[in-house]
Amino acid sequence: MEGLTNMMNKKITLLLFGIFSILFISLSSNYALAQENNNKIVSGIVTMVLLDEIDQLKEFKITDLDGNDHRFLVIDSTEYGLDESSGDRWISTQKESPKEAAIKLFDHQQRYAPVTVIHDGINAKSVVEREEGNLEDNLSYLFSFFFITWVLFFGYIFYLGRKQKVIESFINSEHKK
Amino acid sequence: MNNITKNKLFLLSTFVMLINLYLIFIWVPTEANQGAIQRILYIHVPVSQISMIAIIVVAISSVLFLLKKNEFWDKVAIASAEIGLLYGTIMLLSGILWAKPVWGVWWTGEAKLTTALILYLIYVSYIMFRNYFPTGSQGQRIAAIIAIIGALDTPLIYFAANLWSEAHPPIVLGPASENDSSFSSSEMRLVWLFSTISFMIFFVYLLRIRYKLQDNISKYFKITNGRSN
Repeated sequence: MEGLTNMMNKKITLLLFGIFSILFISLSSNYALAQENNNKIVSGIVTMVLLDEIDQLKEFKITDLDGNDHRFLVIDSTEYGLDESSGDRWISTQKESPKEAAIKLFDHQQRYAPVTVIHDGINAKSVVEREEGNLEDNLSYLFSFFFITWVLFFGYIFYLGRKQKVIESFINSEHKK
Repeated sequence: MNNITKNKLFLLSTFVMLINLYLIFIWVPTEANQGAIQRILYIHVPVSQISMIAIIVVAISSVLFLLKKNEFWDKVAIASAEIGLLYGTIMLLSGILWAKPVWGVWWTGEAKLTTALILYLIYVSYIMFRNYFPTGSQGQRIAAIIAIIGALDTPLIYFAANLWSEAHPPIVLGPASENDSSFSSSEMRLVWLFSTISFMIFFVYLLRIRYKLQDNISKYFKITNGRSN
């Protein structure tokens, strides 16, 4: 019986190792995929909006929580998902509404409303409300959840294994009496 | 239950669970509105469903035990209750950790969440009654009634989001589903289905080892009681 318990423990250890390896690989691969696409995420307050000669949005700057400035150019494919002060969501692209985009960013600058920008280092790919782009925090919640779940499952299996071992030794000792 | 079956079930459970994790983390597309956190759904929904199934198993087993006086049903009831409590704990924790980034709060007092919390407390009270009162006492009957109340709570949990529309999304799975908004692709539905099967196999595995433990506990008490008599 002790041999079986040891074998079970080895298997559980292997299983734990396998699961956490998969977790690690999958989370790493998500980051690697983001790196491969050159997509980076930054959040902050809009501190500058530059327009061209016909009042179309050309460039903007945000300042993140650490006080670092990030300057981005906008391109035709840049997507917007910004809330108006009334609470309505405005969704568009630079190609569709270049002037409106400038007005919305000016509005965010005046209201100190934070935005999240997905970018490739030079061009902004999307500009959305802060809470919509809070991907880093989401991943920590996801990781915490999976960690707790598997700790509970394996903790329960270990608890059952130990209790089984104790009760079997009691039965064996009773039989010997 | 022999050891070979236990090991086979354990290996099967391990195998499907690893595939399940691969599907959840790598294969299934990321949901557009919520991002990566939506992947909690593939565990939250299956464990919630199995937690509700487990209390029905407890209620049916308890009634059968009271009617037939066959110890097998009593052991199944206690084993299912303990594993149901484990699944219930994960159901609540996953809901809480999902609610915070999506709703901005850890918990709301809405119907779906409250009825789920009631189910959890029913599990706790059932196990307390079973542990405090000896087998064959009045406590066992009261525990059976608690399990029946728990089983009656399950349809309430299932329909709560549709009956009282609040923050929790309406039913998207099963016969009463109204829309498919949580499953914008067939891949998502497939992963949910696979995850449900994986957690069901894992539930059966846990049920069998817990049943074996309960069987040994009653064997031990029979030996010691026989000796003292």
